[in-house]
Amino acid sequence: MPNSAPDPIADAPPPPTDSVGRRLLAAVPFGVVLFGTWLVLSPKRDLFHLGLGAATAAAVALLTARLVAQPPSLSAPHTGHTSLRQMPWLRFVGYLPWLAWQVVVAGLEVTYTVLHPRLPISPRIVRITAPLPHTLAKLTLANSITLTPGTVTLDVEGDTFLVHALTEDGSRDLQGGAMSDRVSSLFTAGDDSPGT
Amino acid sequence: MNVLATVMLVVGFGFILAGVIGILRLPDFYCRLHAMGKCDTLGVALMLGGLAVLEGFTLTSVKLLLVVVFISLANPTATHALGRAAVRAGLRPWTTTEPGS
Repeated sequence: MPNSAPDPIADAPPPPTDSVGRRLLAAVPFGVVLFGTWLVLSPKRDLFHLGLGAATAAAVALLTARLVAQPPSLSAPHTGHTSLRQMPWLRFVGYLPWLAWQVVVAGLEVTYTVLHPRLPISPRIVRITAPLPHTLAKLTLANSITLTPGTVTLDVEGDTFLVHALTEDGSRDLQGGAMSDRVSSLFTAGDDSPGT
Repeated sequence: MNVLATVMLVVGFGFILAGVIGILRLPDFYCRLHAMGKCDTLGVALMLGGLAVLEGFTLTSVKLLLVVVFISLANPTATHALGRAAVRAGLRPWTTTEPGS
């Protein structure tokens, strides 16, 4: 995101371009989603509260229109084929239960390590390289590493992931590359998926 | 239902407690990130999920589950931001292996 807009939180009006109309149009679905969220969260159905919700949703949608309208830096600069709409959502949904299970395993392992009387840790910093097609895939891998047992992603530069591992097992699993393969297949084979 | 909710609350509390013990026992900043990022996410998710079970299917439980979703997105992000800031600031990790190996 930082490389797309120089100052994304500035509330100054966006510079006038010929795509202003399209940008406002793109803000409409987002505003509808926001208002739906308001309806879920606010049980009061009188005119005042509904009006407040509508005004808030409209204001937020308009203020963030610039960010919503441009497909953010999730797209790959060199291939340019990935937007959120073209993502293999079905496969992504299949990835989630595995990830949730990994979160539980991670919690148990850290709990075990921490409560162990001898505190059996051997922390280290590991670099792994995973050639992934675009930023969204890198983001997914980085977050998955953080959520799985014994490892936390510290930094990403290019294809290199800087990871802190709490135990030797964690770093060995990571260098086995099972997770980067999983994330990689999640995204790279997605060209034939529906929605393109 | 009450039994399930109680189990979730107690187990969630156990994870949060383990996270706190981890912060106290682990040797350095990076290791403490593990205790923060993992035990707390799991513990808070379990406790709020337990409260949602106790509440039944109402608007309140939907709100609680939304909070769970937001926390499970925000907590790893915060963990990552802290770790990255520490790396950029040049904080050396505590380690038991020889430096450079």
